[in-house]
Amino acid sequence: MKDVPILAAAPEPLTYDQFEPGRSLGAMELAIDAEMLDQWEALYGYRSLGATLPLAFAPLLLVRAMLTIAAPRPPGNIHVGQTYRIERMPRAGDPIAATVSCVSKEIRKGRRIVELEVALAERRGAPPIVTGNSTIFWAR
Amino acid sequence: MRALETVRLAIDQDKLLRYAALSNDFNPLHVDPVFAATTPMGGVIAHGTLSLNLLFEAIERTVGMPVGGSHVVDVRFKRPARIGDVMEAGGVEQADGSFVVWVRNQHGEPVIEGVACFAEGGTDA
Repeated sequence: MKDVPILAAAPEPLTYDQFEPGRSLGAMELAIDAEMLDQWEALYGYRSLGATLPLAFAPLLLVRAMLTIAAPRPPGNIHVGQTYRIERMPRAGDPIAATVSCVSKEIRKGRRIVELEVALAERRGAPPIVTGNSTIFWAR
Repeated sequence: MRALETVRLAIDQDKLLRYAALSNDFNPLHVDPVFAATTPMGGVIAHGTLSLNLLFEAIERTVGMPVGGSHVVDVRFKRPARIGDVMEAGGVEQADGSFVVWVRNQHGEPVIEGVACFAEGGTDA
């Protein structure tokens, strides 16, 4: 898989104070190649259930984009919740444009809570076909 | 009431390493037993989405891809999965047409829980 980050990751771990709700953290292009599909099949025992990438590639692609763009992260983050909205899945080999943005942040019961949104589209600026919102306890 | 087709996966070290490569998540908590033993987790835990993907497989095998709208899945990670655990994903339809969904370990304990609404045949979820 040859991902192409469009914006370079920050040199130091992202801190809670750096997040600004409504602001984009960056974008990248995701690529799914035969090696990735081989790894998937070796792990889960199937390559595809239809004409597109498996539905279960949605969590995988979203977390891959989030971990690449919202990086580096401080040790001790806890991913507590996730919401997905899937309109359709891309086909293997299709270009996938991923963007990551901060939706909200708050401190509740002493915990720093950050909500990040990852959107996948067929090209930059196009309507998303898969969206995921992650709720993360940010360590510092 | 319909139920999702059950999907199972046994967690082992090889699967954690494969998933680390797939997800680009090489957090030592998932791949380094020596480091993980020093953390409050007391040992290696599986990536949350490694188990979550089983639920999405169950959804695709049961209701297929979205038609005329979006599948919406809202989940919470309840407890970690560990090497040697066997994950089982499933779900059951509720009276309002939504599904209660889960991934459980071999003890029946919830690892992931949530709700899902599916776009089937032109009905927006």
